[in-house]
Amino acid sequence: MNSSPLTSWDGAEAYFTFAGSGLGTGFWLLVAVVLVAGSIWYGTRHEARDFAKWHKTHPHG
Amino acid sequence: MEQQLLELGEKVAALEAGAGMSNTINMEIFYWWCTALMITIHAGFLAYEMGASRAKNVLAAGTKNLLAFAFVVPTFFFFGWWIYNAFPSGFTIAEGSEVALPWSAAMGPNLTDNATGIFWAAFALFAATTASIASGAVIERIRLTAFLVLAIVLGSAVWILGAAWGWHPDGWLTVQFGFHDVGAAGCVHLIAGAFTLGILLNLGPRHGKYNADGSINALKAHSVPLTVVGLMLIIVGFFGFLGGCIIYNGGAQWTNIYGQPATLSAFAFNTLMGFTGGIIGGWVKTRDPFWMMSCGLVGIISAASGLDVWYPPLAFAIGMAGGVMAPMVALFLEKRGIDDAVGAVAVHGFGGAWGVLAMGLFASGYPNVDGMPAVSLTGQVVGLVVLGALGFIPGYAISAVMKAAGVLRVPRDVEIMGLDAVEVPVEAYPEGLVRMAPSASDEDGGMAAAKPVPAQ
Repeated sequence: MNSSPLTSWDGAEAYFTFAGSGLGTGFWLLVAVVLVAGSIWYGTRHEARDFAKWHKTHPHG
Repeated sequence: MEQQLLELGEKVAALEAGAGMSNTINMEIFYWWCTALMITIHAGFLAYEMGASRAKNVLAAGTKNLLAFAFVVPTFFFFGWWIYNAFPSGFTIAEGSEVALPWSAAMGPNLTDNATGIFWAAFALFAATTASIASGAVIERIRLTAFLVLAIVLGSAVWILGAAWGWHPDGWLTVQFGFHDVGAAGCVHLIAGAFTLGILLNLGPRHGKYNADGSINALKAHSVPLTVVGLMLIIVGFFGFLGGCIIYNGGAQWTNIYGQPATLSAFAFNTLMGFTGGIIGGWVKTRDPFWMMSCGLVGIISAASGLDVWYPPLAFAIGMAGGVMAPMVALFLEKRGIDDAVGAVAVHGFGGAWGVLAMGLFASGYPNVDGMPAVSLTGQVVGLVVLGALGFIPGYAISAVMKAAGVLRVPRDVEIMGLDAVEVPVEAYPEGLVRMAPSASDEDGGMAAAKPVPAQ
């Protein structure tokens, strides 16, 4: 995948991967947002499962 | 002759360009190391929070602390930095703030912008510090994911909005009221303390903290030495934090965040004097090493608003006064059913409020720049009220919604058993130490009746 916005360092400004490409930066920003939000959602489910498992194995506390 | 003048002119231009680039790179280096030092604050909060937990919750507390840092940094990239740049005048979006949007050319490696990344990093660490302040207060009973959402709101939205208002050269609190808070006593500590208080009111005390007759049990930290070392690490990190609060102007005098002339020497005088005043205040009041170190932190926070202007003995006195009063505030809250496991509301909330107020009481009249009002008691009180409300209201409101939805607090029997056994796949002390394994039926929350169990 060629993600470089540059073909030469002469006069280079923003040089991060996909700089200047709204589609590229937008996609990876969205991926990062989904990863953060998804991790919290996954953590919530995992936590609820842990509590349920605990209640199942220790029905009287 | 003409040729020689031309060559001389070229050499001068090259020297000027070189000096300019050196200044730019020195600026980057300065904030790079401030940011690195600020990581020590998180090492400190980690140790402090784990030490303050009972052994049955030590790893859950550490996990929560680590994740607060991990979630605040990316969310601060997503929207926190933009909030700071967009809202100095209140709730209207400032012109030019689009450069702080996460898809801007400034928000990534850029050979024509050496400043944005390093300032973003320093502010991201301020943000993570703010979220960590809330973390310790709520240990041993808050649900991890509920806390993470609250940490993101506090670290990547609420405090940075307050910073835009009161810790920004164009912030309306400064422009209209001359609000002065160079070390962020109000913008970081007061906001975080007030937000934490809002959470604690909804979260409720740890099981076993209060008896039916209202009397209080001490839920003792499992490692006071770890908490004390953690607090000292926080102090080390504060030198990075406070270094990040002054503006490096290559080739010219430092300025504070409002553009007023300042020196790093001033910060050095007053940080140390406030710190030591706080320790002594804590010692005089409590004789307790945990509170002595906490009060050292209170001392710095108490002096923080005026670090650039205090006569050092005055910073010492303000720090000591904060150190004497903070444990009293903590006791006051505890007696009213607010179980703040590490005294965060007293240390940061009260300390920050006292620091903002002290600036108005003892440093009114300091001039501003660009025609903005001078420092005044009125301006400081306005800042105190606004920033306190800005912290408290969202902390209370969001945690109230979480409580109503049943997602704020862990189930009672899980809390009694200890979060590590239920949520964490490893043991904190698997060999050579005893493990406290209370039963869920222990009516005192597994404190007095907690029985040492030999390690398996």
